[in-house]
Amino acid sequence: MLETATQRHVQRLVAGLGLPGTAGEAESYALAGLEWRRFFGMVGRQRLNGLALAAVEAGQLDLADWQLQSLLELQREAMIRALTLERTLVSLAASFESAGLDVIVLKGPALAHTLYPDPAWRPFGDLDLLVRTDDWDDACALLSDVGFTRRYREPRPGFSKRFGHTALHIGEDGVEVDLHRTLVAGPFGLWMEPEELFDHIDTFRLGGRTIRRLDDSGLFLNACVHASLGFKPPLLLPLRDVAQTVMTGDVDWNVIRDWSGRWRLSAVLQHACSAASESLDVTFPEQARTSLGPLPGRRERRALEAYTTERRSRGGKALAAIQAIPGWRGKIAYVSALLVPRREFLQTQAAEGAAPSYLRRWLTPIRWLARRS
Amino acid sequence: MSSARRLRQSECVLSRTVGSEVLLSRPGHQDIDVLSGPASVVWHMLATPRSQAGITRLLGEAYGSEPGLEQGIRVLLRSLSERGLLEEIADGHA
Repeated sequence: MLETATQRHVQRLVAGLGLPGTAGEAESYALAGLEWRRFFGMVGRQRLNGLALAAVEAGQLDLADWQLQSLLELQREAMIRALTLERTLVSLAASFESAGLDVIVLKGPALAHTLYPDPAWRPFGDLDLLVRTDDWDDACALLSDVGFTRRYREPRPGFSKRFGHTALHIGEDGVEVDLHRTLVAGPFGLWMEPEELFDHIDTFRLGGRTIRRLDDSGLFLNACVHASLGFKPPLLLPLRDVAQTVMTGDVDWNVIRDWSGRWRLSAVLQHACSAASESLDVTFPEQARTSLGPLPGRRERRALEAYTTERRSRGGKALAAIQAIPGWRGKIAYVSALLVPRREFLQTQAAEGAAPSYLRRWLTPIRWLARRS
Repeated sequence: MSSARRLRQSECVLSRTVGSEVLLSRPGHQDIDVLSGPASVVWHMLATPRSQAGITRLLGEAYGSEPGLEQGIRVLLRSLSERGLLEEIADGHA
């Protein structure tokens, strides 16, 4: 976070730029010395380069020529990366269609080309693709066929389909594709019914192809899940996604209320919306504030804490996932796969040059328990 | 290239605007084209179908008619077309 009140104000101004309900300011801010270095560092870390440039163009930031050149260089690199990823997305969309596999692009490209006024405002560093759980193995095989390598092996065969949420695949040119079967790891991903998301699809045009994305209700849900659970503390760009979907999307709040109740997401949605509203200084419409579901129960609140508190670094998500898995047979399968995974999994997890080791793996939960007591 | 033909940005092109530059990419090609200055202005004009004559007239009105303007636009449009960045619009279509 930036240090002074002015710096925090400028950060809020940039992150919330152009949102309906936020007033532009007559004042234009100039930054120098340490203030500029901290601001520029923040922009890079939070990936607000597109919004920062837009703030310059809107007259909200008054930069010296050399400062503007630094920002332009940062944005140029980000946009080259975005174009490279979009090239890959168009190609993969064709491959998935040829194979008869449904695929939905999540987050970055979907938001950039639909709800943001200019795709340059919304950079992204990888591709997130959602497939049906039943198509998981075929989707992984397809990525392998077109030159992608799965970064990590499964702890045991079938683990990803049963308990997992993503598998990272890396292309020959370094492009990263996160293949999803649900939206998030841990209990919230297990409580969801991701198959239902395929009934909430919209499309956009990219590179001459029609690309599937979640509809605006799905985009809002995904944005909240990502903002609330993805990072501790929440990052500004995901919070901006939440605000962007609320303020400019066509969200069906009845659907949100239904998902929130059935999938135990009210704590997550409330956390994400509260953080977005406060960080960006924007007031959400009443329907957005009252449609986030019932008051979260203790189990839901505890599950949220597994992501948002110190428990996150002490195995919180894994432990909360155990509670979310129905039936003792499932819980035992999950725990035994993590405690005694196959050697190929350990090899991909081991640091470069280090031998795979079950003992090193068991030390991790032991340290977690030691920190808890 | 006939100055009456109408051209526009190819639907297959992926693009971003960064400051005064336009970055362009095409599926199946590894390189990224960068247009700056007048070339980026012409690119933005081609968001809607235009003829070479139309572009020359608009640029002349905006920046003043300079010797070589028409030739320069012709060369630019040919280059963009050869790289697959433009598509020709048949008469009667938007």
